[in-house]
Amino acid sequence: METQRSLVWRVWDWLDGRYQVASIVDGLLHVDIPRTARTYYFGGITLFFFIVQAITGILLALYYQPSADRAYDSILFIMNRVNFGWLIRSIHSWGANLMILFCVLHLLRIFFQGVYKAPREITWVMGALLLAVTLGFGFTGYLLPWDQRAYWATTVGTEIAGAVPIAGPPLIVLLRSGSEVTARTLSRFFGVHVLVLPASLLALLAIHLTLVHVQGLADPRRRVEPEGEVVAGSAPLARPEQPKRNLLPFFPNYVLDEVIAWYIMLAILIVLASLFPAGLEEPADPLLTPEHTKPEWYFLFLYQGLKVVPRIVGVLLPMVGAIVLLVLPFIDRNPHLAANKRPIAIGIGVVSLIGIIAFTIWGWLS
Amino acid sequence: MDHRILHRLGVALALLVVVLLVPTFMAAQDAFPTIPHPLEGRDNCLACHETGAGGATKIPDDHAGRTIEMCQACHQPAPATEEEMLAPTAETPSAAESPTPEVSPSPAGPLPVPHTLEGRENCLECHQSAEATPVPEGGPPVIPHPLIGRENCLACHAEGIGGAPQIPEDHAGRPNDICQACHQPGQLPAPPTPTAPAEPIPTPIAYPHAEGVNTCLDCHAALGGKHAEITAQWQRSIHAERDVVCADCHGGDPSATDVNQSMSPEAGYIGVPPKTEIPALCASCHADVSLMRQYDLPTDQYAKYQESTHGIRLAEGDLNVTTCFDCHGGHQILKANDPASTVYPSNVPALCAGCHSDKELMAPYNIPTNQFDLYKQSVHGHALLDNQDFRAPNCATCHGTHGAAPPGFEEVANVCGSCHSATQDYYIKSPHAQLGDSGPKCVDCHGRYDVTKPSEAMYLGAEPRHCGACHAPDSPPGQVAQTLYDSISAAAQDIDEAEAAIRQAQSVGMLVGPLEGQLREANTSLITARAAQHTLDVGTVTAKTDDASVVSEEVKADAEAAVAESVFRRQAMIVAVVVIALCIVALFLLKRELDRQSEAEAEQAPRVDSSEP
Repeated sequence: METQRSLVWRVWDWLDGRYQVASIVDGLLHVDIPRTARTYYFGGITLFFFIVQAITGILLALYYQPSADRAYDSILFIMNRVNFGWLIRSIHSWGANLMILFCVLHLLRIFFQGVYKAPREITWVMGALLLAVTLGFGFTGYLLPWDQRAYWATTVGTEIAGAVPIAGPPLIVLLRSGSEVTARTLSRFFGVHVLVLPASLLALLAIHLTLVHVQGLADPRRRVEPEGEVVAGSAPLARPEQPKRNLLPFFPNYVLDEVIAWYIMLAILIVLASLFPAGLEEPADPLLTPEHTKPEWYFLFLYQGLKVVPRIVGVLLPMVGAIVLLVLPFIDRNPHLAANKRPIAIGIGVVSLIGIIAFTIWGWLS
Repeated sequence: MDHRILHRLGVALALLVVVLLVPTFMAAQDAFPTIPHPLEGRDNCLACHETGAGGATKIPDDHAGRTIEMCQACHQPAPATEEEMLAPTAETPSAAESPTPEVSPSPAGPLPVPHTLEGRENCLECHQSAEATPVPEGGPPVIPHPLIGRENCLACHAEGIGGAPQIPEDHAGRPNDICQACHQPGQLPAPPTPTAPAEPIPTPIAYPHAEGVNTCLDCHAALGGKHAEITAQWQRSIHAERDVVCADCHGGDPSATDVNQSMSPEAGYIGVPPKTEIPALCASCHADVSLMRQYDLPTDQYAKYQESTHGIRLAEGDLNVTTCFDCHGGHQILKANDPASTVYPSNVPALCAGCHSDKELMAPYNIPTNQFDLYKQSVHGHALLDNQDFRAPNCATCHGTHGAAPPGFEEVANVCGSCHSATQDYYIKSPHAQLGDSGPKCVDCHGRYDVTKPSEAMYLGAEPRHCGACHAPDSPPGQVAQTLYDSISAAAQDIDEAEAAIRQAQSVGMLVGPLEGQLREANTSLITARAAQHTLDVGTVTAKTDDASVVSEEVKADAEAAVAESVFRRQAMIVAVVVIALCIVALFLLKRELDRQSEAEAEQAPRVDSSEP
């Protein structure tokens, strides 16, 4: 019988005999999730895009030259000379936008389902920080092509940071490594983009996923438990016994759904990258301000807000909003999950969302 | 053998004899009239002899239908010696076999030129004396321009193109090559010189200053109506801002409260200064270097004005001309860079037109009044008036401001070149420029007030301002124009095609930045070729247009390759998406199977061992 086992299984047995990998993988894969959980796979898709970004980012880093006099030409080289360079850069560019989009959708799903509440407070905080890091990726990566759009979007983007009361001026110097966007800003952004942010994201992601795994996926249809009692999810370690019919195996059922979603996303990425490859404008020219200078779409609402409301409001409101978002589970003491039982939170959420979308569209059109 | 055969043989022999004898006879005869003039420059016999123009012998009726090429088959030039040709009295052919040309008895009739012009370029040497037919009173009009490049007199003078005087009716039928028999190149009239000597700069009006007190203003403001209006105008002016008060121009004592004292001749009151004195009055301050230095203003306006036509006429007592007051405003003088100022660059054309479009006012000076209308339609007018592009010239840019004077030819070439400097550099190397004052200048081809956007079409066609207006298409200059048209049009078309290819590549999302950069280089070559065509040097221009064509063809090829690459990418994308779709379908089938399994397991057992083998 032994001789009939394939090489893969023999390696598996060899490892298992020494490191008990079977139990580790068991612990990771063989958990049950509530059948009523509705994740829409947003979190998993965001993870997929992160993996895509990491792979394409590493490939780009093999050719990219992070200096003001070489950056633009190296991007041109990637686009025109490197085999499939255009595809890698276009996927990296589209992947960045889609990662932010799905990160936000994931956050909205958690918010409207109310599943950030106890016992998942830390998971939410980690998720909010992950969104901040993802936005940081977008912000720092946008400058790297060093074309006019990159240069001036970064100029107005860092200008937003400069509007923060008291800390604004030093913050702008910290971001730009000087009073203007220069070659030093490029070095700084590159370092942050490929070293600081990936390390931060990996650390936060590890905590986020571990917590999700330990607590299992939340069931948005669960009933409110008696006050004060922490209700855990479906993970074996933390959940009370549940009828098996309400549960679904994480592997292979849920994983299979995720893989299908990832495949669809891969197809979307390929279509977008092929039909709308990443562009490149004229090389950055600090002396030539383009007619319409705007930051990236995910900062447009901030930019438009600063233009139309008093500066102090335009700065403080998003800051307060970000802090509220970060510590939301500790502010929102309402134990209910159903939307109709938490009108204040849902109301504020809907109004904020409509406001952000409206300002984004306004900024886009202005 | 019969009679018929003998008869035929006889006829054939007779014919042979005739055929052989006729040429011999003709050669021996030499009975055709010889050509009594040299053939150089007169190779078109029919030009004169068909109609008898210029007293030439009209061809006989039985010659009808014979072409120019056939004339010399019979008619040969008379064997005149060089000495005979140059002899001043040899104006009539002496050979007995040459007929004497008919000379019209009427002085108004067509004049014959019955002799060669070689060595006899100055007709008047003979024709003003009794030695030859006398010329009309005053002599024939001189040619006021050089002849290089304008060999074809009739190109312009036949129909009076470009303002050239039309040839008189009695000259009808005279060909190009006899014009200079009478009409000789002459001298251009000397430009007018200023008649008035420069006036000394007057002393500014002195008056008693009282800090912060200006009783003129107080009273006139209180009087209301026109008086108050004047004071309000002054208060808006740069003079009010710089503390230049009423008394600075009108004299008087602004510190006195009694009108009889403040506006008395004793206090230096001069009232409204006469128009003839206004320039000097303004100059009393504005020509003072030490006074104007603090305002960074020039001080040569007065000197320039005195040399201008306006200034000269004013000195002669002509009160129609403009003075400082008329252009800058009287009391409400604003800084020239104030958009409300009458002398703000975009307001200048309307300001000048205020007088120069007034037909009644201009009539005594015989000056046209359509300049402003023409200017408004010109590229310059559109740029300045419609687009507020202050690089475009207004009247003062070319004519000068205070030194306003009608521009002479020399001036025109220079004023255009003060903006179009590269074009001017090329122009001065051209045969046109080498013609001197009378050669075609910028305005001859581009217009003066109605400068239109130039195009390659100017090389073709015979309408005014086109090359064909002066040069026949088959003349050497006409050929140059055609070559320039061909090379520049071809380069422009190559660039257009490359541009279209770039746009197509851009529309499918390809990076075209480097290609656009290359095409800009090609465009620069085309632009310099368009400027360099003013040299009329085909080699210089084609070198640049060839550059433009080569680069734009490369760009076009690269852009088309980019489009092809995009098509390939899209095809590859379809393949990739199909493969992914197949994977998704397979995974869906697997999922359905798994769902069935897990539902069945959930129904059967409350707990399962999740470990796998």
